[in-house]
Amino acid sequence: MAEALVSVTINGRRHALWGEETEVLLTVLRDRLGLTGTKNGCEVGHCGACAVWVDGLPQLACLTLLGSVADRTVTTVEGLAGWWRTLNGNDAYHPLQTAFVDNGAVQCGFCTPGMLMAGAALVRDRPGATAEAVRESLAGHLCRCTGYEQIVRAVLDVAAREEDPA
Amino acid sequence: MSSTAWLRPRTAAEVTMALGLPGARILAGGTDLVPNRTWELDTGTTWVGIGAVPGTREVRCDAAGRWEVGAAVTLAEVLAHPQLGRHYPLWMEAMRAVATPEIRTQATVGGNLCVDTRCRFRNQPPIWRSGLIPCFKSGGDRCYAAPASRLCVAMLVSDSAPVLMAMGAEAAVAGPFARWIALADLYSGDGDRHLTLNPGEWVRAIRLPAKPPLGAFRKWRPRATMDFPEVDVAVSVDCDEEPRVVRIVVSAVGPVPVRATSAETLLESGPWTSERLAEAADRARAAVHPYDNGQLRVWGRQRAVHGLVLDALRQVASAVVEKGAQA
Ligand SMILES: Cc1cc2nc3c(=O)[nH]c(=O)nc-3n(C[C@H](O)[C@H](O)[C@H](O)COP(=O)(O)OP(=O)(O)OC[C@H]3O[C@@H](n4cnc5c(N)ncnc54)[C@H](O)[C@@H]3O)c2cc1C
Ligand code: SF4
Ligand code: FES
Ligand code: FES
Repeated sequence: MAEALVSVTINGRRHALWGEETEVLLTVLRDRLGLTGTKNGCEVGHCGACAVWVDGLPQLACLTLLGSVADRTVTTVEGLAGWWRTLNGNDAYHPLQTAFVDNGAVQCGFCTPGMLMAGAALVRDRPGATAEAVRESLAGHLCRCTGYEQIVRAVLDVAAREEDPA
Repeated sequence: MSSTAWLRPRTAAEVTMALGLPGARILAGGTDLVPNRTWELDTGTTWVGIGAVPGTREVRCDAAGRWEVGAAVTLAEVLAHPQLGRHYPLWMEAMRAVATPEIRTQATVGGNLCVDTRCRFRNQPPIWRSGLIPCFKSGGDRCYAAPASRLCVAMLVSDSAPVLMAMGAEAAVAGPFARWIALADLYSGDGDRHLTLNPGEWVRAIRLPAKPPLGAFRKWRPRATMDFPEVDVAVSVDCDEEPRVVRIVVSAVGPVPVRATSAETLLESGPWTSERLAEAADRARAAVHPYDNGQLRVWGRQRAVHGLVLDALRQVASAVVEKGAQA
């Protein structure tokens, strides 16, 4: 009863996964599919390092059950650039990934995948977002290294560009 | 990890039946239940989803103008709703104060009311807890937070509970004897079994008053986001009644939200001068005794009760003046 066949599209590829419906998506991604870009920082919802998109909305993989993503779409940090390329057909990386590098928003990099997924959803949905909106959207993400300033700046950069593509 | 089954009944009666299975729990958004399983704090073996039951994901207004919100509606849906924000700004404030944007996408109205109580001596990883003799809530015979207590005093951390209590909201209990209860009657006072729900019972919806009173909400926590409350205060006043109906609710200081009745009585009649507001805040502080199981010190939390109540009362007082009523 607890096991089932779950069909889910991850980073554009259909997967049919046999397993416990109540297993968390975090271990499915990391341990079964080798998608280790999604990080396990705390395993209980307190750090944001495991954020992925479920049908385009940021969600914490450590709190998301495999059964809840049945017949839905999951995007992890590994799929972010691919998603962007299918939309635009040009850039190798999502502009936020480049902006993180340019702004020095990555140090140890552990928080980066979660920050990118939350930040990329924001710049997609709210071009021209204010610094306050950026801070609010990253409110569930801890960074031990950067002091957050560079991360906020990187997201603001891209949010401004998305609003006014010059 | 042992396996957990996940049932998704389609009617309220089937949910009640499923709750009769050994180790059965309601699974709503899972933002509390899932991490509690991960840390072996909850060992339920059957999870019962409620989202497929008709009405649990609905928001609607009845003929009397009261809004009813299904237990499985998410906090993000409440916050994005075109009407609820206008009618119930106080509730919105509490909803926005819960956890983080990602968690609010998943977490539900019912889950936020029923969320398990928390304690510094228990909400820790298994390896941390392995050094402690189990307390009441872990099946043992003692309480570290209140050694003289015969009951667990873990804190109710729901931000919506105090606000909905101050607003006079009700909860629909489903089960063999379906009924509406005042929100205050949902909590038992025992941090271990903190809800008054009987076996097979669950929360189906909440109902908000057609004419909500004026109110204010304050949440005190170490960081401005993500953290659970160390003290919550919700205050409301209804000046259309004579005497005024005043509610001062202090929460996250024990397993139930506390009504500061002596402070309420003071403000039911007479003018709301700054001296009398300060006196009410003193009385509220004297009525509340936080246990030493939060992240912050007891004396600080007790001082916070005073500051937050005063601040909230001042906000309500000026809202009353703005509305042109007599206070
Ligand atoms: C990092 C982090 C921060 C958090 N911060 C806050 C905070 O600031 N304030 C706050 O209030 N909460 C906070 N929470 C706790 C939790 O996320 C919320 O309370 C949330 O609203 C719980 O809702 P849910 O639908 O996810 O509940 P679930 O996890 O699905 O359920 C919670 C509990 O309630 C029971 N339950 C759920 N629905 C019902 C129902 N309809 N009838 C009967 N029982 C039911 C479940 O069996 C379970 O025991 C936080 C959690 C995390 C991980
Ligand atoms: S309040 Fe006491 S019994 Fe309850 S969890 Fe904390 S230490 Fe254990
Ligand atoms: S690992 Fe999911 S929030 Fe920390
Ligand atoms: S870069 Fe190290 S945690 Fe953020």
